[in-house]
Amino acid sequence: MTARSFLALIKTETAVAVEYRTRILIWVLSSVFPLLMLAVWLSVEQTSGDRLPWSRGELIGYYFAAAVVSQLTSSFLTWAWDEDMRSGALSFRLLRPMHPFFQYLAREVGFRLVMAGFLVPSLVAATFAWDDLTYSLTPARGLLVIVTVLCGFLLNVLISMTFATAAFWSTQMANLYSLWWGAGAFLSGWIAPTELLPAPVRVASYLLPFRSSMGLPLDILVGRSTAAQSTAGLLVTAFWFLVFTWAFTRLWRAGLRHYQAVSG
Amino acid sequence: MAGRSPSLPGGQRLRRYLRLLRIFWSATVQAELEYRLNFLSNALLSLFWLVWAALGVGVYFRFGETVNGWSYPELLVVMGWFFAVNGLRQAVIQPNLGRMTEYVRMGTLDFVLTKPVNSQFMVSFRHLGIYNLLDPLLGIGLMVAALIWRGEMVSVIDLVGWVVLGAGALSVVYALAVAIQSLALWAIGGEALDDLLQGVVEAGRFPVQMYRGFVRALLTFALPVAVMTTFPVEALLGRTTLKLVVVVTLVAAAALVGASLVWRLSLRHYRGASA
Repeated sequence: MTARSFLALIKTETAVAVEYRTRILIWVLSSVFPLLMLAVWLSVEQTSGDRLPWSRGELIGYYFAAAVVSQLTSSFLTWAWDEDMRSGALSFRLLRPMHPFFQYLAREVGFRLVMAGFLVPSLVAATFAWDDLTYSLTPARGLLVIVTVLCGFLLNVLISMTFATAAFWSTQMANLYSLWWGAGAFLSGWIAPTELLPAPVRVASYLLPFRSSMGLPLDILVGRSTAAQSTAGLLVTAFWFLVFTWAFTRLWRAGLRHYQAVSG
Repeated sequence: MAGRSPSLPGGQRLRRYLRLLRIFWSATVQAELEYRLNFLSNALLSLFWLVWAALGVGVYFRFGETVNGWSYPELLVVMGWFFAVNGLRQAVIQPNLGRMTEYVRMGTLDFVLTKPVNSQFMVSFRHLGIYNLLDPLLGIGLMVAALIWRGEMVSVIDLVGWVVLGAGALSVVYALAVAIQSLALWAIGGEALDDLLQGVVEAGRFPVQMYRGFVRALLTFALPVAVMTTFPVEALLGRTTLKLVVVVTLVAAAALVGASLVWRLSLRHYRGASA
């Protein structure tokens, strides 16, 4: 092994470590942040009284569930993809008789299932342990929550895979994805339940894909979404699912040609 | 081993360490400047996160002028200071803390210990993360803008109070990092500990008055969140007391001495890479 190839290896490893910074940031934000948000919203509720349309109970229910739902629907595939591309594992994935999209999907599903197995029982236990934390669910609404969480998860996987294809062309893809994630945090119901946002932002949040994996299931869960609103939300999710399916397949084909040109 | 640096007069020693710091950091900067595009895109990302945070807290003030005694401009001062402290943590502490497990595992630490330089200095200042170097400037920029918006003059005394309490805050964060680094010598996974520190610092995004009951007590007395962001900003807003400044200074000094002691104790326990 020459010194030059060794140095090149060090450079790659450094770059990999750098790419992971944002991933860790997002991980920390997603585990600590909902509870910080809850703390602040409870202070707002106490200071402003009637001017805030949401009650204390609704806020508690919303943000505790947010901590769970965000873990179930978020996707780290953009980084996994990036790692595979650098390490060459992507080439092996391409050789397998299955579209890499499904290979990555399987990986994400497995990870999220483990999360769900741990987090959902914890949330249920918390509702028994703490009187302030209750959900008045009907079976129909409960089912709707499960459906919207699943749809939100699938849409998120598709979106992160679409961003991942950008790695065929650019090394800045992970930063691009965190811009997307940051914009989404405003509109998804993460900073505030969408109903509490200023009107123009609220409208944007109802029309864009971010709310599907966060605000929509949560609003249904705490009972702040009428049947019509829930249906509209699911239609928006379906619309974006089609858009990103189209974008992904197009980018994938173009990117693959580009990739072959680089490696071969 | 920690105290085996050649005995030079105090001033000369300080100058020597400053020179070492300059050599360490300019080496890191030169290596990283190979990736200019990365630097630029990370700088833009930092700006984006700052605007993100500043606009995000605005939502609370749609329902009232103040939240638990803090107005929007005042909360933005806290955000700016949080951004500055967190940026320094990411630039100075994280790159070194993140390498500690590797130092122990690879035996690099043995090599570090043989150098005629204080080992705590070496393990905590050798590397620098340049991507977050602009964060402190951006954060202070937001603080200045928020103070102008607030429209009240900041007196010289307030400014002095902020400098003293701010130095205390940074000392406490540094001491905490050294203590965590020492734990790596007792064979505990370093990465998880860095996440822990990040989680603690993250709570400093809001002043402690935003939290209540048990959590507020925890963040004020057990974890250094109040010391880190709330107290320095309160000084700048003219809400501090001389007593608090004295207490925080003492706490910060104690933390620095304590961290150094923990480091030495851990070194005594450490038996080298082969053991």
